[in-house]
Amino acid sequence: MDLKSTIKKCCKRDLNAQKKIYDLLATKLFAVCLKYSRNYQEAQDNLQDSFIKIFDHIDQYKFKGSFEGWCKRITINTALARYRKHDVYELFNQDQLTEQEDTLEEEENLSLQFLLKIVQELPNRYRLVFNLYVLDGYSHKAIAEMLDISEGTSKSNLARGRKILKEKIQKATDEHKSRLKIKNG
Amino acid sequence: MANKKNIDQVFQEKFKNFEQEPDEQNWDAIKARLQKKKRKRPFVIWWRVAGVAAMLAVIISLMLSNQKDSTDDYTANDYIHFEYDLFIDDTLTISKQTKYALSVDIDALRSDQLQKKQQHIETKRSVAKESASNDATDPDYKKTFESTEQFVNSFNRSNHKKINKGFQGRFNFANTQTADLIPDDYTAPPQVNLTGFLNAGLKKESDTIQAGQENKETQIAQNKDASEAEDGFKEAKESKDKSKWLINPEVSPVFAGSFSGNNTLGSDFATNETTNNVSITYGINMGYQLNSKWRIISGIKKLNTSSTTGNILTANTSFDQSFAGSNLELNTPDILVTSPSSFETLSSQNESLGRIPTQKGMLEQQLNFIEVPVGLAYKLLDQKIGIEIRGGASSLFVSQNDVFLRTEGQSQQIGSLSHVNSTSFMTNVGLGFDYNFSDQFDFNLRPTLKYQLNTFNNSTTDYQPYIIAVYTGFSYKF
Repeated sequence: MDLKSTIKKCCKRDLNAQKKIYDLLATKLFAVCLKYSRNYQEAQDNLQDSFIKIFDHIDQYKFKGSFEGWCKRITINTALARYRKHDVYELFNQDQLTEQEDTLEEEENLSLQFLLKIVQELPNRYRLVFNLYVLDGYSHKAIAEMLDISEGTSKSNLARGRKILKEKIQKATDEHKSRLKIKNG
Repeated sequence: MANKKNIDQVFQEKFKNFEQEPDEQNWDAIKARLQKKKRKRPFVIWWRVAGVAAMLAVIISLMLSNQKDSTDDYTANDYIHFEYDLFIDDTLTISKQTKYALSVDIDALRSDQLQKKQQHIETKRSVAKESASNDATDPDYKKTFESTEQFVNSFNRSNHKKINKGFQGRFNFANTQTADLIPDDYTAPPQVNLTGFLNAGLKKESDTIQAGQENKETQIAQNKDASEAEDGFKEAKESKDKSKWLINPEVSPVFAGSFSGNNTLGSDFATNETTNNVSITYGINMGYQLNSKWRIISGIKKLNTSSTTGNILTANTSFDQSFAGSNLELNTPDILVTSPSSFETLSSQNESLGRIPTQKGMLEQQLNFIEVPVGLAYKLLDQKIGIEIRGGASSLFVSQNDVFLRTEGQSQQIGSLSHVNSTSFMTNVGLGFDYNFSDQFDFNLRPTLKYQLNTFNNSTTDYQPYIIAVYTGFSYKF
């Protein structure tokens, strides 16, 4: 059965069709949820909320643009709504931020699980901005609108997010190296 | 070898094809929530069923009324219907589709007529001649015949060849020595049903092939078929006396309410007090009488609805309205319209919002439709005062969708409702009371419950609106 007719069945709240859509997209959307959430449990909550929203609004999908993209946007918005609400607004002096070279010694052994973990550990706003800008390609202007912050705040949040990530990677790499040294020495 | 790499690239590469299977339990949780939503709507389903049933009733009655001509066993309604317009153009018009052959006893017709009237006039010949044979493409269909013999022959021939095509013949009395047929000073109504003086023997086709060949043979009305035929004619005459069509301008106040939900503005305003304003609906109905009990009704109406939601906070800010969780689509991005509680939540997250001055106000939603109803009316009582039950469904086309913001002394159109379907449906159930001034005119009063099925996108609101209308109007029958 093709996607279009499955979507149309979903408009009529056909549970079998809804299951098909779930099976089709769950792995991709769960990945989105994991990136934007603080932990595995919250990612599951976001995934469930997102699918409910998708099925509630599926009649608004007008078959323009990719369906997967449409669902992904809903998933991102669901996560944003959750953490926008819970975020504590940290005030900081933007002047303190200096442009740094965000590069690191590449560590081939950096696992996806490790990277995901340190992204999840980022403060809410940093995590959202980092995901939106770096992993999902939104502009600072768009992010500013989505999170109702200024573009400047978006940029500084991103820089701070990157810095934290870099430090954690550096630390892990150093630990790894020292472990190797002990082992070899 | 160490390779300097941008941190963004590291993440982008690693996450490029990142997918992860969620636990089985997630689908179970989603499924349970979806099913819960489904169960919440049994009442809605009942009303949908009522609407669909009314539509089916219309369709079935239309099908039955069309089907009659194709049944093999003929009934009273299958008989040929005669209109005898003797005093206008001296022709006999036969205009009912039929499978059965016919023979006409013109002599019996004549003597019967003579007995009844006992007077003479001269026949008007000229009109009949002028109306002769104007359908060149099908000589047997719609033709003026010059004699009884020709008429009956032609009729039977047409039945052999074109059973379902029907037959319309005009019989020219002028050429069949009927000069003494019509009284001199005859003042009866110009439309005379032939039942009284035409002995029409109607038989199944097979029986009357012979009759067609021996075309002048008389078939007298004593036989059962013919007497049944007369009953049929009488019934046909009775229903013909009553006007088939009806036109009915009407107007009603609109009292709106809802089976569930406080208002349609969305979760943000779910607890805000909402008043449905009394507005107006007006339009014209058309009716067609199917038989003595049933009538099909349709028409076109303007249906206006209006409601006011109080306790609204508004602020001049470019803060994205969509965060407030409402179904408002604003014209301008420079204004935020929300409930006080929602504003509090939003401003606790966004410091700058908390500093903006706010104003209290009300939201007025104006939602107007063009309504096209289709339905059936069933007569319970048909006296000086008539009572009927009416049911059906309407298509609704949005003609106006505006939201006004009213603050102190000011009213401003700020946008529209984002979740209104441009075309939607509504079921109608009601009672009709008529007071008949004359055969043509009556005054009517019709309390009606109208249930809006999908005016609003269900997924965005639980609001299930209904409308009570009490139509008053006049009907003219023709």
